Amino acid sequence: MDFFDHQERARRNTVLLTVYFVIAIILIIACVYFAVLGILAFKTDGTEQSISIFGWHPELLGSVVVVVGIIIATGSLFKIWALGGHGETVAIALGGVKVPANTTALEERILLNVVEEMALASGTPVPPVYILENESGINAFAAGTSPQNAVIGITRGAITTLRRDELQGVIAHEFSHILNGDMRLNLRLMGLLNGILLIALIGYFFIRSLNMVSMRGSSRNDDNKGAAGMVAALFLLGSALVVIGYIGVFFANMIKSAVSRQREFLADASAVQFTRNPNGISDALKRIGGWKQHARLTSARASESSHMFFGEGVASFLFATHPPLPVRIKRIEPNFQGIFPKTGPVTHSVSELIDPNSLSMARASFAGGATAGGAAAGRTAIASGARNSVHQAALAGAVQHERQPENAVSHIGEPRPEHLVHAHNLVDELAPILAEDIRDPLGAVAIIYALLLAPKSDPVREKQLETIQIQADPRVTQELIRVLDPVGRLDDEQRLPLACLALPALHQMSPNQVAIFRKTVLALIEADRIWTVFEFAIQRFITKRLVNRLVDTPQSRSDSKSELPFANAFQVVLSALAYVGSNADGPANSFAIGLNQSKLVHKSATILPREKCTLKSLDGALNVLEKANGTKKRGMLEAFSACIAADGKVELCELELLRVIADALGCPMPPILQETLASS
Amino acid sequence: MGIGIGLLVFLGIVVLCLFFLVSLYNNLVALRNRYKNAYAQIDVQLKRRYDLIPNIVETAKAFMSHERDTLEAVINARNTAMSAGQKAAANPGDPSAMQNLSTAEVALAGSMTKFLGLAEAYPELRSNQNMLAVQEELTSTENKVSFARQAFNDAVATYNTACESFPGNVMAGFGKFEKASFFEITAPQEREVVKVKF
Repeated sequence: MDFFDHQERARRNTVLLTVYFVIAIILIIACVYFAVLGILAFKTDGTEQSISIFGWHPELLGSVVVVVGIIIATGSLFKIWALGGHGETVAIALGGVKVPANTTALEERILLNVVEEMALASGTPVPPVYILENESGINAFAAGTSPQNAVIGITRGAITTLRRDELQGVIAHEFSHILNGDMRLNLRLMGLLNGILLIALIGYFFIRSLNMVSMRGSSRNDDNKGAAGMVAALFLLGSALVVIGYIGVFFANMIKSAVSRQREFLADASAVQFTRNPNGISDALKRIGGWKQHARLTSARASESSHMFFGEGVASFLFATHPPLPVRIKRIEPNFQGIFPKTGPVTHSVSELIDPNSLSMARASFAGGATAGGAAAGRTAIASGARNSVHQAALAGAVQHERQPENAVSHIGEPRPEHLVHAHNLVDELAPILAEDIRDPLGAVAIIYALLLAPKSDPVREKQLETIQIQADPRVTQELIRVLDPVGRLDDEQRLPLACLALPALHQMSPNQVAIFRKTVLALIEADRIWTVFEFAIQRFITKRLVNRLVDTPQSRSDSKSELPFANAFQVVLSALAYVGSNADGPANSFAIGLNQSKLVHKSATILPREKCTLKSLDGALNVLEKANGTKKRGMLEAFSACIAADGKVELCELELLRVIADALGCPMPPILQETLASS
Repeated sequence: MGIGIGLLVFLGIVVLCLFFLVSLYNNLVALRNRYKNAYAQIDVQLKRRYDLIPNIVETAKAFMSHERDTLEAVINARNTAMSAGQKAAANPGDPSAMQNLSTAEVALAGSMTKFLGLAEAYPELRSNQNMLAVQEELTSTENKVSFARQAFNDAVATYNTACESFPGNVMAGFGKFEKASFFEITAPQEREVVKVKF
């Protein structure tokens, strides 16, 4: 099973789920219909137009269908709309507080490091992290509808009780939910549940308001028998709705739980696969078992979102959204005895800031790589046990395997431990000033500007610096001077990951600041009238995500009228890939090879002229391709990787463009490991 | 059936109103959260600055033995600002806490300006590597504080506008959403435009 199969399965689960819900809704409609019929029969008893319970009343059925349909649809859509698809909204509703990207608290720093590594390893910009400060149980969640707007949330309890490798297991589990498309499923589940709940709420509202009306009526001594009968009938209807609604919620909960349990097993398995460290996640699960609050959540909103969490947040026998802990542990650790050692808070040490696995990767430049004070001491303090040698052996094999970009497609959504180590080393080797600044909003802005500058000899650079002087804040300009040098010394390989690290800090900017940032970035990109892969990556990875999050700014939504047909969009992207990093006569050939690899588009398609592959057209084309289904996406990505491999050599910029495209399609691709790593 | 349709329309309106109120409430909560989160970013950099100040004073001490009063004033101002900062972090946006922090920060900026102005008169100190490094670090941190402060003030402004304008003001009254205070520092040197040469 690869990423696309999981996506496909998530989609099929959604279909199955919809079928269940349709059945549930039909049953609800039937119940309401008979309830109304019964009440009407009771009410009109003895009068001339008596209604029989067993009769056929299409107009009544019609109105019941319409009314119930409207109620459920409104309830569902409202919930989905209220949660806005943005992970941030869900995190805030649950009482989450965003961890400042530049936090100095040790345990929060460790957490952010783990998240950063996991994000870079899976090929997506770093998501913001929220802490549920008031929750002392051990739990975590991922929210959002796609990797583009995902956030990670974790309870305070988890941070105080879990060691680094356990934390890594939990975060890997949550990343699997993000990568496997579980979050959209979760959102729909919450929506439908809410729609059914609304029926009960309306019934309840009926009873309440009728109580008030009848009380007022009786005090006025109104002797109107008809009205009294009406009130009684509506009262009965209200009660019936409450009963039906809650029974519906009961079954909806069962469906929700059943689907959710399956996804939990998958996420556990994926976590082991990502980290190749079964102990991390199984120890984390054991800690939940041994902790006095378990994974319990106290937030009032917890029950509706319980299925999003890492552990069982709300005690419930029938509606358990998670498989029991011993069962989950046994799947990872077959000879688990079912004994949970008592869990207490752990004291974190600075050594946890770094990834113990990266120790085995004694790269030549490792000694030069500086981190925050104490990390170096920690590095030597960790004994590299047997696991590391196993790890190294696995790594050697993996790198051999991976030099072909075709294999990169098979890694989509499934980062491996070597990707984690790679990500960790990239971060670890950053100059201290960059490592610090990239986590601060002002510093991150300055670094992104610095990354976009043309090389020193280029006359365009002067023009760009002038633009920054005019448009940006003087504070940014001051900071830019500090980072120019270290940014200039970066390896090409480090540039994109560094930009990906900037996202959480940039998220802290206000809408006004984002607007200035966006304008300046655009001016810097357009200074030389040609675009590079890196510039495109910044557009897609950074600015697009920043703007998407802002609710209060007009979103740059492409209108559907100007959208390209699929074949044309595919042609644009493939042409762009063919031009990037190939020589004069190469592009047409690369294009043809890519085209033949997939059977998606008719063979007669030819490469577009270079002028047609603008940043804007590529962006629009990706928006079209994003909507394709999983099978098509797999085909596309295979075509793209065949295209970049066509000229016999794969260059960094080609790989980076491929990764940006993969991310745009919602299929995050782990970094393709370079030769340098293999030679160590 | 006539009553039924009337009832349905009535119910529809009630449901819509309910949705509207809920979204109004959620919006206020989200905005309040956003400005509180924005404060956390300032807090980290403020703490960093409070750590750097004793460092720079310690370096200067060796050279500026005659200026003990100035150095002490800096440290005192720093301590006052630090405790005001802790109170503000506990309750960002609270008018009195923010006011105290602003006052303390202005006082600190004043004593720092005086101290750095005096330090100019000591050539050895001016060329001291440690002094230069910390001073650069301090400027950078101050820039970061002020950038984060701008984001915080923007977030506060958005929240306050939502609280004051109709229909948010009705919900703000019911839900006990109180107006938040800006974190403003009107130190003269901050208004200066910095000229930079590359």
